[in-house]
Amino acid sequence: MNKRDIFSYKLIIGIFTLILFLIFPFFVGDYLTQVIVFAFITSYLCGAWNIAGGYGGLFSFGHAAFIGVGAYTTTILLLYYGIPGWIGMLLGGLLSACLGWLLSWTICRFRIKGFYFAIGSMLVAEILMAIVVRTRYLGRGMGITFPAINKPFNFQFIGIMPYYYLALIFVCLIILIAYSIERSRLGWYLRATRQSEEASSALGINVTRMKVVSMTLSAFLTGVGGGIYVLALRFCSPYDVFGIMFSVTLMLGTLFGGRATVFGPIVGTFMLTAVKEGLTFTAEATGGVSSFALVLVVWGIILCLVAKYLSKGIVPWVTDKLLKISPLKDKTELM
Amino acid sequence: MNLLEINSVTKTFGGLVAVNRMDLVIEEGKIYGLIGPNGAGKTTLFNIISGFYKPESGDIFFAGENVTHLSSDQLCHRGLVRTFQIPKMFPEMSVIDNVLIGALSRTKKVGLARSEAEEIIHFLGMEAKKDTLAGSLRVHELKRLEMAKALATKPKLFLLDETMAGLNAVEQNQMIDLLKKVHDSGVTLFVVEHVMHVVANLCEHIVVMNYGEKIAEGRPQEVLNNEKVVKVYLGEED
Amino acid sequence: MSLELVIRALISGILMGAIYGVLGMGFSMVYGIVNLPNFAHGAFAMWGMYSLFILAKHTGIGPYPGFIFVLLVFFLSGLLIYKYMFKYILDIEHEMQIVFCLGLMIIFSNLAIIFFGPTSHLLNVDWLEKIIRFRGIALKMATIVGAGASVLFVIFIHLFFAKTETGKAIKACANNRKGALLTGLNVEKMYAIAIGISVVCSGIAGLALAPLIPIHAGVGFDYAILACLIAVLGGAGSMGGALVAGFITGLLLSFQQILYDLSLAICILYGIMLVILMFRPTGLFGAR
Repeated sequence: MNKRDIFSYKLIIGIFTLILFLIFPFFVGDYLTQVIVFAFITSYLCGAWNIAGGYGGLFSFGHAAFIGVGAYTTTILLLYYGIPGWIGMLLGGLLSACLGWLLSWTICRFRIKGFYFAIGSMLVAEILMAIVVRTRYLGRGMGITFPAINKPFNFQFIGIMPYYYLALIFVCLIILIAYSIERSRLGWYLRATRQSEEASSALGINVTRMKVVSMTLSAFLTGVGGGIYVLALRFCSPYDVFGIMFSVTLMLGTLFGGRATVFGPIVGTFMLTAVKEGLTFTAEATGGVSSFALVLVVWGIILCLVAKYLSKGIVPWVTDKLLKISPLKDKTELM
Repeated sequence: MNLLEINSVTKTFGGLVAVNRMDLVIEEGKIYGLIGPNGAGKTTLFNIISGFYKPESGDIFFAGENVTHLSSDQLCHRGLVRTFQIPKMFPEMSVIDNVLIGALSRTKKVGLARSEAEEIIHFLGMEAKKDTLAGSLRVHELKRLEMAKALATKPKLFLLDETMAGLNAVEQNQMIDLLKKVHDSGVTLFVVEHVMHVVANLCEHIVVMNYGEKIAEGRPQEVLNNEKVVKVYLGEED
Repeated sequence: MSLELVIRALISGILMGAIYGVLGMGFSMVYGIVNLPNFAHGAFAMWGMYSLFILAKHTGIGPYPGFIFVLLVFFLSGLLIYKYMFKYILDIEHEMQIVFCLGLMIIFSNLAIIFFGPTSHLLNVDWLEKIIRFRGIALKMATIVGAGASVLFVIFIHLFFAKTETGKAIKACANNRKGALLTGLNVEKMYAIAIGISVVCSGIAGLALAPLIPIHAGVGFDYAILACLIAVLGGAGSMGGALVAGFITGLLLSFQQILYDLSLAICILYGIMLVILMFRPTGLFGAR
């Protein structure tokens, strides 16, 4: 197999999958479509986290902060001021980007690392949640419900189908972004910075700038994602969008699927979603245990297992196995 | 114009004066050596010149520009690069990818940088190990990689910190040839070394440090026969 | 703001501070001795609360005699957790350790939801609800008992580490793991004991807090964060520092509570901690 064969092989699979996803909603019911919509959105968000946490090496435990900022910006602008959802999303992204910039600049300036960064990022999300919960204007703890109206220009739709295609676009978008980062100088520089900050510095890489760029970009994308999330859900609640479980979901999906890979976040999210749906189905069928809590217990177990045994993730694991059985020597050829 | 000028640079760590009012001039095109007993402040001086430490007082001029407060990545862009005594590389990347990072400092295009990296690999005779992971290289291969990465940044001044450490006699000779080759391609070298015959063989101008100060400088024959220098090294085996 | 209110806040703050101090100490202990940021620490506080609740509601035994048994169980659990879990994550990346502990935290919290349901429970033990009046200051009996238990345990820990052979050996391991191994100390056993004690710390904090706040599964997470913060404030790794930080936290929260409600107080606490994290991440007494 030479390079050109691999390339067309992947392209065919890609197009085939895309077509599959495009026609998918016409063959399945609303519930399953909705599951996939949120799987898409979560995949996108995982991919966005991946830019800072995976490629950038900035393991944030509080990305929900950006989701929340994007979500509330979109919600407030749309429902209070009638500003279209897509504008709200972009502005939400920009606000998140500012927050992300501030956060990463602070981390670099004060050399906050590892454990302290983890706690700090968590705190930011918790503080924002607490502020929203106390603010009447932002709907307090009860959250804000969206009316079910149809205004396509605002990105408000009745029914789930339009959101399905929007979410699909988002997933394709994050795939493209991750793919182009990996190939660009930024991607190489981020890889270098992750492995050795000193060696990177000596070769002309401005380590601070790398961290700030990856965090800011990640924050922007995450913020935009927060917007589409609440638009699709038609509900914006602080415990949801700023909650630690959302941050954990992003982390878990990306870790499980594969940090610093293009498809890792997506594969990880879909597998976890499958686990979740399967468990929910069995729990409700056997009638008894709170399925929600059970799913989380299983996710917790997966989290522990991944942390210890699979810290690189599924996609790299599979890629390594494939490399061993294929005649290729060079890993980069498979990309 | 002198390539590098250090004026009265002082660096202290707490109460300890590591470098004391150091003056130094490096002209373009030559090979300079820096010798001195352990703890003399040689690596500290290198760290200061290459932007890893900031001096308490004094100035550093590179190609006429005051670079005293610039960071190492900024200096790299201006053509000042260094290798580390204990090689710092990217362990999970292949040899050529390591060099690629260096090459990317001169161009944004990854494809172009990669061909530059290929050239350097060829220049230093490293094709055989091109695709090996840097983390699994042996010491002398790592040293060669250190040089390749730095060379890829197209430096004007190349600071080499104890390149010979850990190499056997054969490997040392290979390294000397390599250094001469690099010098011939137009790079000014400033080398810290403990191995005397290497310094005598390679360098056109030697600076001797002790206790953070310059105690002698000049041509190898002058310096290595200087009474003060010999005294400082009394007991040291060559 | 009357003097009475201030004094009340002061006393209440100190008493609560003792409880928070014990909580933070447990975290610092593990971080300092085993170099593991145990994010699941708060989970044991949560189990402590539920244990007391079960003892009070479902068994005939009054809550406090039973608690010795509970603490023993906690200690053993700590040993087991080290032996079967923590031992294996000592050598992985720091971030992955946090992820692992977060996973544990999630498992514990949700197991609690499965067993006890998602609603809050209130512990109501008559003699603990009694209000003691002392020179016009009204305090709940539970607070005094809780603080008292915490202080007793802190003294016990201090004596343990300072006076007993095992305690001193554990401190040695903390300072220099390889050295300890070389002198023949059974490092594994030391680590296990340290973790056992830290679980008991968390459990005591839980037992102390049980009569004072609504008990629900989310509490574990809140206290996990609080434990981290207290430990960081005092200097992660410094047990004495954690104690001091506990008192400071107790006072901070208590004084803020007289101005506004608890949720805002916590929010402001987080804000203060964030600032401290930026400017002095090693905390008051820490070196890591």
